[in-house]
Amino acid sequence: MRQSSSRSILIIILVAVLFSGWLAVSMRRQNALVVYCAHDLIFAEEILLEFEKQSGIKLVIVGDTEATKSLGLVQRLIREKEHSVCDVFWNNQTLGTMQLAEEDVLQPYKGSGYERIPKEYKDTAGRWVGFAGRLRVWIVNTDLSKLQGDELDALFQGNQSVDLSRYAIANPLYGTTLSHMSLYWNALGPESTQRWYQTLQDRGLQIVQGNATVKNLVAQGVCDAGWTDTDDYFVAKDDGYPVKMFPLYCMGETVCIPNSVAIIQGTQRLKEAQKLVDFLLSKETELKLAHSQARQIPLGPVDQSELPNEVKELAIWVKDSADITNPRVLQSRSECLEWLLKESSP
Amino acid sequence: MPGVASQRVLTLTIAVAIGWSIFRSVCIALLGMWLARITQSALQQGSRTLRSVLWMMLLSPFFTPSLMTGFCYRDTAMSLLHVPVLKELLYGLIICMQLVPVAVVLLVFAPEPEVSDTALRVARFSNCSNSIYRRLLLHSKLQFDIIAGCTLFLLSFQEAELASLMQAASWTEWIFTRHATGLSLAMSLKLIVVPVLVQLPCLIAIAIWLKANNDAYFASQNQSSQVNGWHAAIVFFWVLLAFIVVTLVPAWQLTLGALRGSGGILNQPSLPRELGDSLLLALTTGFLAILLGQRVVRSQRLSCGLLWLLILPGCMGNLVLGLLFAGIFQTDLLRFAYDTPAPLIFAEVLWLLPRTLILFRCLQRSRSSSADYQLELFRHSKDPLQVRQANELHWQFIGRVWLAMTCIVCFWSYLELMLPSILVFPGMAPVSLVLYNAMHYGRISVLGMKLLITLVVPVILVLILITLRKVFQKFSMKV
Repeated sequence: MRQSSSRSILIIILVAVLFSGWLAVSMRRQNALVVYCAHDLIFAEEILLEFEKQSGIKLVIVGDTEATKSLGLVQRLIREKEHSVCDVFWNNQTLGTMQLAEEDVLQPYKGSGYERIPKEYKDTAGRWVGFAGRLRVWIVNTDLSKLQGDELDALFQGNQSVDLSRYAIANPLYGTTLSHMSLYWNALGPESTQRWYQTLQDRGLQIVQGNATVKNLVAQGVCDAGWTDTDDYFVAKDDGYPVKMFPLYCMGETVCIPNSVAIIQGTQRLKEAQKLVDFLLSKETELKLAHSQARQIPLGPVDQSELPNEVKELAIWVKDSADITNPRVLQSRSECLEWLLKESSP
Repeated sequence: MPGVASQRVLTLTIAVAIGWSIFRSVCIALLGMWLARITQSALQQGSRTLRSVLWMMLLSPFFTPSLMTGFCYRDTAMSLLHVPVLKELLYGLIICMQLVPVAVVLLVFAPEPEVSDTALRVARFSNCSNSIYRRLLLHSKLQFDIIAGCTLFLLSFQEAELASLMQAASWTEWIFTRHATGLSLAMSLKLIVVPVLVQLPCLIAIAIWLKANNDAYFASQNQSSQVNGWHAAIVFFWVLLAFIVVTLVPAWQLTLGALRGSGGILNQPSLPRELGDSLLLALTTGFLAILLGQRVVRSQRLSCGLLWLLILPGCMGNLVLGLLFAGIFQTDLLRFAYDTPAPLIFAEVLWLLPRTLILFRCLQRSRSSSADYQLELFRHSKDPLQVRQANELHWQFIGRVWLAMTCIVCFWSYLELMLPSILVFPGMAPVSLVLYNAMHYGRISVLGMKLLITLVVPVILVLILITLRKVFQKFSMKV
């Protein structure tokens, strides 16, 4: 009798604990701003927690995996269009956000942050704004390769017989490599881009899951060189690997990929969403991202003396960058993605 | 050219991915069945201590989380980029090492077959027809080899986590990546039809085995087959190799990784919340799965259709189950519950159910109903000393087994990552999912420490629970 009653008490306690646990989890969403974040959470979380502390606005952050970064969340936002869950989208590039604008998923807002950012990095209707960019670069293992940037460029563009099996790029289906490919598609046209990409594959180019994998392969000496982003390069450099970077050029221009932020159509927390957007587009956030391990380049005006030396150097390259926010590039992205998906379809 | 070969593996189509997965799973099933059979015999030889050590080493690889193995072999797999065949071989070997213990457990806890080896020999030398002989064969111990083989095939075919971390060629990796990058749910569901059909024959065999309410004797008590020297050497080598490759080396790597990144753990403010989310999910789904499993086992009148409905979804693997639930909860009828914990909880319970039923079946085999009855009589005795001793015995023989079973089921749920990655709702971030994302990205130095804490927390909780029980026991004895 005593045993069965103590068992019942234990079960009641357990059920109560689990129930209150689920209640607490459900309460997290109450009055909270839901942020879908394609930027690496390791960097983004610190910024968003700072916003929570300053504004007192509770945030629920939804991240994504590296491989499917941004594209996964863009597709999710399109799927959720009729029943939106997200309030603010922090994308780690711009083309996906531009697609969302085309799909009528985004709500315009022109606040203090919008005014701060130069016009080439924002939507004229205010549906999205770019900030804190990073560059596409060659990452080279200096123990294995002595080639310079222009020689590496020539290797990918010219000599058709050179084996590329010790070179790697991320799968162009996603992320910044897709943006990069879209620029080629826009500049060279579909046939030439397809032919070029197929030639690279025929020559044995390693196509791997993401930019971080490219960085790992080169840093650990599995590959000699590859395409990646500056933030990934700096991780390898900080870890002490023998690596060097050269800017990647597309038709003579560097490739700068800004982050972008947008408010989702139908949000019930518009004021809080606007506050977050202005916070992300502020000088302070751009400086914080410049000082982070990612060394992102501020796109709005900042005091140059406050920037780390490495970011100052990158900022010079950004001046020669291609116009990635051009609507024609977005069109190219759609066509390129459609072709790439068809290439790997069942 | 090696680069071109790796390229072909990377851009493989779904048909090739399914074909390759079938080939790998068949190889693992065949090799695993043979290894399981000789290991089962070897486990009956030698001293009690030797057998205990062998059991411990044998089971360790199965309970070593994929996250830990992936953390260790992700870079090794990456360094084999130029020799993809070796990468596939390494992945297949690790999976085989992880799964063989399941087959061994199934064989050890299998009942005595209706047709003995002697009866089969007699039938072979008599003039019975081929059809009768085949029927006899299916009722001999071969049926358990078939079940073990089917289970190995299913588990290997459904494996997704390690395939993704090691970027092995697999249909699960193919569909999951395409789904995450925007393949419509309808298309993803269409694509999983073929893998489901591939698994169906094995599922039918296992369902029949689970349904069979056989009260035969505990097999290992009756078998006395001798193991030849070669087989014993192979078993020893295999078990040792599996223990080193799947458990020891990853544990060592994890310790090194944890030491390297220990300083940064303080910069992970969300870790306690992520651990809490995982524990909450694990306890909820673990207890629900055990309750449901107990119902299924006790209910003699459960129709075959209902049993199928309950165990089939879980048997199809976590990827298929996750996609199905995502689809079901996006229909107009259930959309209201899509953005709640319901899809994740239901899916995890159904995923855990077949495993829980297998554990129940093993538990049943190892219990003696007459001893249980006697123990129950003592527990209701009027003598307080007798009651106390009976309670202690009850704990030793039944309570501890139940605790172990509950811990195992909850641990599976705690580390499951495919279902949360498809069904988790905004506001919840189980630590397994966060770790998987970070591991995929391979960036943070604190990853090792975070993973170590994740694995240690449930162990500490169980130890606290056992200590509390002991304290409570002492207290009640004094009272």
